[in-house]
Parts: sequence; structure tokens; C-alpha cells
Amino acid sequence: MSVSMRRALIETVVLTVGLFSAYLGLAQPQSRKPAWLADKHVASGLTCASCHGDARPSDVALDTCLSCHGSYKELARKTASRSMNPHDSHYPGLECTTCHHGHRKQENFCADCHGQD
Amino acid sequence: MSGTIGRREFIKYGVLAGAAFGASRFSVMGASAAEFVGSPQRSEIFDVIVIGSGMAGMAAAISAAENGAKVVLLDKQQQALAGGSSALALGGFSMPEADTAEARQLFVDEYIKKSGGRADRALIQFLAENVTLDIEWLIGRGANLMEATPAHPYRTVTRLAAPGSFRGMPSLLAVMHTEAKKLGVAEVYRAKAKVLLVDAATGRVVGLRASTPSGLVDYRAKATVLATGGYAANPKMLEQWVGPNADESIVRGAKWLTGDGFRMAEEIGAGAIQMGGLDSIHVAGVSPKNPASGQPGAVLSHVIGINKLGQRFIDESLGYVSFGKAIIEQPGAEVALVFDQAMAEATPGKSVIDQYTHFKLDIIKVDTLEELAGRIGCPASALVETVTKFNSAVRDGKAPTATPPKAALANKVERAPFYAIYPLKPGLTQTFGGLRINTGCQVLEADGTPIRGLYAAGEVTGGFFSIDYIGGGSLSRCVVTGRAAGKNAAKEA
Repeated sequence: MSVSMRRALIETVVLTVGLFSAYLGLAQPQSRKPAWLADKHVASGLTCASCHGDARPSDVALDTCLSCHGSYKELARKTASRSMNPHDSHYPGLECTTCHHGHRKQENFCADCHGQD
Repeated sequence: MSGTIGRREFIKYGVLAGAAFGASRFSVMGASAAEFVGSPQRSEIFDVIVIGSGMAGMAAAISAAENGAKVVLLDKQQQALAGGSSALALGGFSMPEADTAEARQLFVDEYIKKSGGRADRALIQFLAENVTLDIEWLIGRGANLMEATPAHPYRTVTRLAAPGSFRGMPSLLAVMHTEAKKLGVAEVYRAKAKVLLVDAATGRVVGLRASTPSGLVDYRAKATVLATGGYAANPKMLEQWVGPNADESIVRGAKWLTGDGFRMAEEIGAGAIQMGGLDSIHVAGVSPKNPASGQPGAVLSHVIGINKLGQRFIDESLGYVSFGKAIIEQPGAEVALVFDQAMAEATPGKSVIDQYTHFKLDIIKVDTLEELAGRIGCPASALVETVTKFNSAVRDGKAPTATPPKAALANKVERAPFYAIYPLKPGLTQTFGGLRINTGCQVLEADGTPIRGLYAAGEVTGGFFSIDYIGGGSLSRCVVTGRAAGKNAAKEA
């Protein structure tokens, strides 16, 4: 494939992808792409390896989360106004990823038994 | 059978299971023999493996270790969720009234009666003979239990994990983890046992294959103790064994008790008993906002239960399981407990008010029965009539002429203010049916043949309870079967 052909192909692909993205953007201006927790971390300048270490898919350890987000005690203060404080429960030291999933919807583990607030 | 390694592994260990593993995929191949493609990441060798970190598993691990075994304790959950349903339990240990043959006989009689005659007498005798000693053993290891109190109306007593209802078990389990650590027990979390390994030459269970975050691991040992709990959180097992709608119940215990121990043991031919129908489960009336600790058992037998028609519907002195099962039959499957100021000032009332306050659960308190009827959604005239008739039937703590009669613990509801615990809905606490075991806690085949190298303890075992239940029986079974299973497993090492 010549250089000019390759460039033409790349341009076509870029243009097609761009138009398609624009179409999606018009069709679904608000919810085109869900902002998972991982996306928010990337938007703040982190990389896969920041949380996953060797960057292979793996559960993120409690200590990794707390190294930036502070102790469970500090987190409990931030959510103290809730009727059931998820960071001050009868399961101390629960791994953050029990509720805060990086690549799918968040969940409320407490609600499995206690219902939503 | 494809793949030479899979075949060799199969022959070597005699792995039997209902699932197949690929290096990076999982596919179900029906209820036939399992096939593993590739080898496990590693193999670890111990004397005794215990699966499950609840009361039974901890007792088994400590007991095996103090009898000289090198022990590994596996749990499929993360460490913060250790303890299974034991961590959510009320914390009562049921015992004979005294350390005498007569008291033990009374204990056995009560348990046999409560199960409608179905409990295995040898197992209940085994429970009666060991529970007092085994609780002393726990205390010797640092457990803090409150003094024994009578379990009215039964001729048994109960000792609660301190400091009280639903608050003591986390502390008790923490003490046991400390003891296990001191004895060198290796605790491994996020290790889910998938299949038992059976030696093809001897037929003995020689360990298990577990899935872990770092791949499949084989744990090899001379003996394996299943302390995996019940199947209250397995919809298929509930539908199959209890009834087609059983999986709609509120599950009170740990939501990950999916009957893994049954499945693995049945795959190698273990027998099970008393698995059928509503008789095979424990149901209690619970506050839906907190189905574990919102359980008013402390006061229930002493007060009256009222349905949506404003009527009583069962002899409350029969206890909280009879009551819980009766709720299922009431309009809307939702009822209230009603009592007065006199009961609120008595020990059972104070205890439940204290419990509900601690767990931030509401107790209705109003000046008149009419107001109370409005709050619990029943006709005021019906409630007033029910209470009036009940009060006039109370004689010497009994109300034999009431509708329905109350055989014991009958207390009038007459002094304002009036209280109600509402709503109470049926909640599935535990499963009664389980693996057949003998008094050595060996798992048995359906024809009674022991499966060598395989023991069971706690809720996974059957033969102890059916139909109805005396509170505290389950944790007593956990400590007795756990300690015995651990000790006997250690002897094989």
C-alpha cells in the first residue's frame, strides 16, 4: 500500500468515525457514554496502572483506594448525614469495590438487606 | 474428555463435578463429570482444610489446630465479610439447664418434640452431651458470653454472646480469629471451593479445587471439613426443595450462602435429609428495614400477635418460628406484635426496646388501642374486641379459653401507653435440611456409609432441626459439630 493510499484510508476512517460519533452525539446528547468510576479517574489524569498496578484486570485493593481517598474514618464523616452511613457499618474494612465498581454501575451493598435510604 | 492433562488430572484425583473449566472460560456441561483443561496454578498441602469462616468453621479450624493439625481455612468472601450468617446471628447458644444427666434428657426431649419427632436422636444426644463443655471451651479461648437465662417455655437455657442480642457475634468471631491465628491457622479469603478431589485408588476425599483471584488452586489434605452454611440464598435449591415460591422470601442471613457444600458433597454421593417443604426452613417475623437484627424474639412469646383483621392468629408462646411461619398465612403476610406499658417495663419488653433503639428501628407507642389500630392498619373495633377478650381469658399466666388459646406467658394488654412492633414479615433465617452426618461429624452417603476424609459442621448438616426450633440451637450445633469435626479431622492427619 502506497503512502498516499494509506493516508487516504486513514482519512476515510477518521472521517467516518468522526461523523458517526457526531451522529451519536446528536442522537443522545446526554447519555451517550456513561461515566464509570474508572473514566472519572482517567479524566483526573490517572492511568490504568494507577489503580491496577501491572494494569491487568484485577480487583483494586482497599489500601490502593484509601491511599488517595483517606481513611474509612474520614470517608464516614463525608457520608455522616445519611440515615445509614455506608462507611461506618457492621462490616468494617469492606473493600471499596464492593460498591464502587470501576467499570460498571455503582451499587449499594447495604441495600441488599436494609433497603435504600 | 478432551485434553490430555485434563484426563490425567481426572484419573489422578477422581474429580467429579457438574461444571467444566477452561483456562480463561467457564462453560457448563450438564450434570456430568467435570473436566479441567490445564493444570491448577499451584497445589498447597495441609493436614486439614476447613471451608467457611462462620461459627462452625472457626470452631473446626481451632479444634483441628489445637489437636496438632496444620490447617487452612478458606472462605469465598472477602475478609471483611468473614463469618457468614454467624456474623448476623442473634448470638444465643442453647444448652441444658444444668450439667446433669436429667437436664440433658430434658434438653433432648424438648428438641425432639420441637422437630415433630423427626430430629435424629443420636445427633441431639450428641449436642446435649457436648454443648456445655464446648461453650466452656469457647470461654477458655477468650469468648465472652452472658449468664444463662431460661428459654421460656422450654426446659433449656440460653447464653448470649456479650454484650447482647445481635451485638455479640462480631466480637465472639473476632476472638476466634485471634485464637486461630495464634494456633497458626492459615485463613485464605476469596478462595471459592469448586469441587472435592477424591483419590481414585482409595476413594478418600483428599482436598478440593478452589477458584481464587489468581486462578485455580488445589488444596490437598488428609481431611476436609465443610462448614459452608445453608442454601437460603440459592433460589434454585429453595424452589426445588422448599417450594416453588420459596425464593421470594426475605433472606435474613448472608446473601452468599448458596449451598456450595451440599452441591460438592452430593456430587460425590453424600446423602441429605429433611430437605422438603416449609418444614425444612426456619422462618421468623422480621422488620423488613433490618431483616437480620429486626427480630423481636426477646418479647414475642410474652405478647400478642395481631393480623390485618385485628385478630390474634397463633399461640405466641409456641415461639418465634411457629409465629414466623404463621405470618405466611395471614392477610398480606404482614402482622404486628402488641403490648402495653407493663410489658415495656418488664425484662422482655425492655430488652426488645433496647435492641430496636440500638438498631434505629421504630417501635410504635401511642395512648390508645384505637390509635394503635390506625398505625398498624387494622379495624379499631376488631383490635379492641380482641384485646378485651384476650385480657378476660388470662388466668395465672395462661389463656386457655382465648381464641386461639395461649398455653403460657399470657400477659394482659391493659396499661397505656400501648406499643406495637410493625410491620413484621416472614424472613428466611436458615435452612434446616442438610447433609447426613454421624456423631463423628463424618458425611454419610444416603445408605449411611461414611465418606472417608469428609466432615461437615454447622448449617450444612441435617438431622438436628425440622418444622420448629428453639432459639440458640443453631449456634450450639455450630460449636459442637465444628469442634468435633475439627478434632476428628486432625486425627486423620
